[in-house]
Amino acid sequence: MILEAQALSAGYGGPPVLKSINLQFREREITAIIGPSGCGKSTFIRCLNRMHEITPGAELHARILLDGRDVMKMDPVLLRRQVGMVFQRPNPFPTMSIFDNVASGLKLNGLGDRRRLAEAVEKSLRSAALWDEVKDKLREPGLSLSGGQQQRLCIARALAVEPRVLLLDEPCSALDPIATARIEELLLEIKKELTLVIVTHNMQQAARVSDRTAFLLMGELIEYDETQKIFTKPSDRRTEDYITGRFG
Amino acid sequence: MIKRHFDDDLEALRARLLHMGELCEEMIQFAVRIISERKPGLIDEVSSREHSVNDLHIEIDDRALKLIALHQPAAGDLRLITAALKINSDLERVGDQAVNIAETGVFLSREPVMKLYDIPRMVEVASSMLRHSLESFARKDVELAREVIGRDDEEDRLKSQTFNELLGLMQSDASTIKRAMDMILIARNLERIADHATNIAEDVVFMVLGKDIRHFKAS
Amino acid sequence: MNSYQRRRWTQAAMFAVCALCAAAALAGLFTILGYIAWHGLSSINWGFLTRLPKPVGETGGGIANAIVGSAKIVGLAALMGAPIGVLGGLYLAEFGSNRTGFIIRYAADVLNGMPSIVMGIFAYTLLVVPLKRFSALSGSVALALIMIPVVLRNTEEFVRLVPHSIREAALALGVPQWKVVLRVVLPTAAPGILTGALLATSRIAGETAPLIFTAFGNHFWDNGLLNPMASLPHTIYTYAISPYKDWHAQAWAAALLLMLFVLAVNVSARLLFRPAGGAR
Repeated sequence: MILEAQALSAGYGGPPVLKSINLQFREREITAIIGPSGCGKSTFIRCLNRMHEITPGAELHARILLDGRDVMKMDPVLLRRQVGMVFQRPNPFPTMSIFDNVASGLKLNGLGDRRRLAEAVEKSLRSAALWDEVKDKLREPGLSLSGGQQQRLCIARALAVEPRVLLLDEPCSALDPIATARIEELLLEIKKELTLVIVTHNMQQAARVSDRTAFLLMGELIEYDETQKIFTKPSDRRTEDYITGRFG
Repeated sequence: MIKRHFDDDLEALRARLLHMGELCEEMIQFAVRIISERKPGLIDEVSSREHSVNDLHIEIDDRALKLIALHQPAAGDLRLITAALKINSDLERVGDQAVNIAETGVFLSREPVMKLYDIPRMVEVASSMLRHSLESFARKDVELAREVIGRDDEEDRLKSQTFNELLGLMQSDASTIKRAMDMILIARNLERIADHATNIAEDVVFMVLGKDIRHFKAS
Repeated sequence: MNSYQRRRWTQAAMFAVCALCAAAALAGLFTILGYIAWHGLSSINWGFLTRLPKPVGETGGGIANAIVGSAKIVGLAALMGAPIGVLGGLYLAEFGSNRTGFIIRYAADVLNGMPSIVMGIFAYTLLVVPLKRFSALSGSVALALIMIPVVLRNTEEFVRLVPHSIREAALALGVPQWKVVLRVVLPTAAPGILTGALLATSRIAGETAPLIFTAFGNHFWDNGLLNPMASLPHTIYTYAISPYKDWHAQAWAAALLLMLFVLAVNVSARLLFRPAGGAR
């Protein structure tokens, strides 16, 4: 159990968006979080690396443990180096080259050794299945890549700081099916090294990629089980209805 | 709840499967009447239904494949479709068994009359098992399915009994050997029909509960 | 005629009206430019640009001290005004969603509309009276005060334009917020900020009223920042209201010079500071 959320409640100042969620994430597994729009899945994942606090008016009451340590008592900056995040729309830094983008997490945190930076950048780009496509144009601007490539660039950037956990908030929803398939492949590779939590509104993606799936509905955790079980014989009627498209 | 066109397709699949089951039941009845009423002409009724059953066999597999390819079904829908595929296969074999019974019955009807021993009882058990297994599919009734599974032993016992009785007959009177052999074959066919009905019932349990209860004794 | 033809006629007529209005506006601009160029071009020569003014009544002479003086006064003003404006704008954009931010923003907007002569009076009261002398420094202060609200609001706008997703991406990498602002947000907004600062500088280069009783003007080379200094706008003013034809000609030429300077800054600002990733 590498990451655990206990009694997690969160909101934006009004009625709570998440109501006392308990969820544990196992090491080197991919956990998918599914649910209809507005169920709180993006809010939940943003609580895990304390990005939720950045929104004005945000409230969070929870015990979140990373390797047993309470993250609410940690410096959020240090937490985010261990729990990285990839967002829905690719967001490479516009003023930086491909190389600088991938290296940004390390450079901004003080690493200046050129050789080590170059090694880290190559390693991350290889993990993100992007190295072969960009190795000859590392000095080009990050924005010169296609959408799918930009998202893989953002994944490489997040991997470069060597987090223990990587959170992905609907990483493929802005991408075409081929780009999506490539990213799903690389997630299955990456999970050998780190733990992944992926929020997705695409149930087939959750089925293809994840080991465990959590179903959230209106801020509550309805069911959390092995993905195969959820998709062949879910225990809760609401899970079944959502998965078979009867609502959502 | 969203109404789905997919639900209409699932309903159609179930309906065609149940129709196929009905035809199989009728085939068994006609086949047995060839023997009990000595009316070989009834084989036409059996043959015509066999054509329909074979057509349905192809049609149902086709429908199921299409639903899987196009809709990526999950959970209950997925279990329904995989159960339908398996039941389809079992029903087609039941049809074959009925045809075998009919053909054997035609031979028997040209021979001198023979005592039927437990064959009528076996017919009753096999057809009621088949009927109930299909009913349990239609109503998603797990209890009824379990009942069917429980009766399989009875049919096996009846078959062994019939086998022993006919063996004794053949040993005492050599002129009965041909007819007795035919009867043994018919008993074998009926026992196989009961096995298929059991399979159908096990598939129903999996479809409803998601539990696979095959290959060990249901308690 | 049917409705389609009527629509086409209306379309053509309205288009003609709009084109005429645009032409009228452009005509005004080009008339001014042309007029100044016509009157001033003949007086511009090397001597004009490098000699000091001759004593009153004599012909010849140049405005070298005004050119240098403007450079010094405006340069110092920019050095004071731009950093304050940029950092203030940065503060407002990043941390200014509260009451304090509202007050600062409101004050800046009011100052933006303040007549420049009022700024001059303020600098006069602040620096000229206590020091008992006119000085280039007080002129720079007056100009800086005009520049600050412009740069501040402009910076705030461009920093706000940086997409939130960029900030989030940087924060999610475990970078502290102050570093995110300084090393990610600021560089991204830099083209817009620098363009704004440059344009504000070119604007204050032409301000006359505040310099009249702060820098005060000087017929000779200046004697340091704490003494009166000549400047182009002030020289134009002085020469234009004088009775000497020679000075009038020089005023036209100085006006042309100022105009060319503003033009050059505008064009180069837009050319040099293309925003990252494409057109704006």
